[in-house]
Amino acid sequence: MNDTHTTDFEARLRATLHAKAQDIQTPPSRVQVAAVSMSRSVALPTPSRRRPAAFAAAAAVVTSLLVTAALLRPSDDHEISTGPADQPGLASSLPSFDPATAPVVFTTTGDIEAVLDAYLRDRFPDYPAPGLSLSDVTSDGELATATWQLTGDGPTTYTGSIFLRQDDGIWGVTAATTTGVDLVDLINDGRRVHGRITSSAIDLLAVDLLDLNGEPVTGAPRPEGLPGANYRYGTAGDSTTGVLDVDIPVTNQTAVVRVQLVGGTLLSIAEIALAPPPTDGPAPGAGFVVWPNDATPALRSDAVATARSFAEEVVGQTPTSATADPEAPAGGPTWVDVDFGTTRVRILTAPADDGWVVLQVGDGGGTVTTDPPSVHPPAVAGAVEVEVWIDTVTGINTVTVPAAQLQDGVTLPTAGTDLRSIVAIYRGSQSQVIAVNGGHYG
Amino acid sequence: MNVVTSEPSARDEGWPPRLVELYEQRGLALVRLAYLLTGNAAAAEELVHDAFLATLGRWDGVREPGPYVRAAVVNHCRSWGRRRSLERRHTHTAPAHAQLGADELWDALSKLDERRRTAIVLRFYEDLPDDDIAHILGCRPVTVRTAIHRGLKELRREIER
Repeated sequence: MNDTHTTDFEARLRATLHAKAQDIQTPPSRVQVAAVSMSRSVALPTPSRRRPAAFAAAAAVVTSLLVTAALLRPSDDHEISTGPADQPGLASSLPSFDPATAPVVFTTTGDIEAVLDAYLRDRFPDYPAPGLSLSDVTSDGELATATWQLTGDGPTTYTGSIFLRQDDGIWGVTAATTTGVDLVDLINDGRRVHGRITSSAIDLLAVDLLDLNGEPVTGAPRPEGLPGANYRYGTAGDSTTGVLDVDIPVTNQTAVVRVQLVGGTLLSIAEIALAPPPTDGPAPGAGFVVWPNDATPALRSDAVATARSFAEEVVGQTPTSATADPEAPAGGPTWVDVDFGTTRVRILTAPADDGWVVLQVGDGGGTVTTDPPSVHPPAVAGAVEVEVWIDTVTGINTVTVPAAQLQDGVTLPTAGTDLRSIVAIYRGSQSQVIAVNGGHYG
Repeated sequence: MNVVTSEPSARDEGWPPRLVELYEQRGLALVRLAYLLTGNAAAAEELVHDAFLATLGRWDGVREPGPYVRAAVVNHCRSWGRRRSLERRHTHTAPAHAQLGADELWDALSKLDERRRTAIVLRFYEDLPDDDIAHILGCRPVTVRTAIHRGLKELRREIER
């Protein structure tokens, strides 16, 4: 690793950012807003963002936008009826949907109105334009429903329902429907989400398959022509048949199926979270592991999911496939064969207290010497450079060294006794991953 | 709803004085941050306004307005980027790839995915530590380090082409 080169580049980057920031010389114009009550029942104006390009240059005229948005806003207050919050439509199209236990797809602080308002703002970038409104908010204190309706410039009115439930005083949206859009027989079997989505509308049917953080699930394909790493939305889109057959690998995680009609702007919302079947609980473990040694939200519900999560977080690459050893005992440890496209890596996983963990990658992390404190990952033919993750009790350091430097070892930032694990990612001349090795030291 | 179409300003319209002060003191810096995150000057100002409005709406629960507004600006910029991607997809147009020119590092930055770009701007423009960036991005500090590491590598590779 050339530290001088690195420092120079970072200095150049820093200088570029600060220089480009000077492109903006004028302070933002002062905000002119409606008189705003801090009461939750009075919503704030929000500027419309999806304006024609011709008006983009006028964005600085914030006042008019805010006032326009305020005038466009539908009725601020929705009277909430008390009584049974029926869940129309869902029971017939999704027999597995239980309104009392369904996973929450969106939540925020506040009462039902606040959650509904925030939900629509999140799902419709233009909300409340073009004519999106709420009505018939009904709650029994535990469950709630509301009707949304969108009347745009065209002759069609789009409508549907939003379903909420309350948990420990916090309201969350569990599902939304659009009249004419059916999520028929969608199933999450722990390996795949599959089923059929149909629409009677003429608009483009856009379907996203996301995790509960709003990120595409691991197996969600990216649309053609766009780099996957850059893309947030995108399982499928169809504007001709009104039918979409979904069959996407999800590796044992809850998946949110989100369907929106698109016609110049987003016209509708239908979504539901599908949880996988429960898996057996993990067995206790002890000591350091290769990954993870700190709490991580990454999916680690079984051997394959753990190997995939490790590949994505540490190697930084989504595997094309991951296959568990079919002869492994049910409770682990289990070797998983992970295919990165350019190479295959074997990852040893085992159950622990909070999910499965990685115990070894490839041929292990190599030897550790104490004088000087350094680690010596195994050499790999064809490697040009090696990215080494050094996990110590004080944190994780990553260094990239030329492959030839491995014979001299990689200096440890702390004494060898603090070392928890090493992962070495070997790259070839095209920066492609050609091998991964890793081991733990505790 | 009482709509104001001209003066007086936000200060006179019931905004918390601390938020108004923040707006006046940090507004320009936040627009610059939004510009670096989006590459779009017009959108940057609008996104900052949106972030302030969002902060106003949650003012009762805001303990540290400065970091809160900055996080709101970053989140609005990220949402803006995602929406741009959605629009590109549904209009079936190719993403606007910048052409490398005199400002090659800036152009290369525009090609980074949104998470890496955000992490790099927060590190090298805002000088935020890993923990703060992780808090804003909703990920672990090690993921921030990885995003920055790989983002820098991608930038180097891009400008060396």
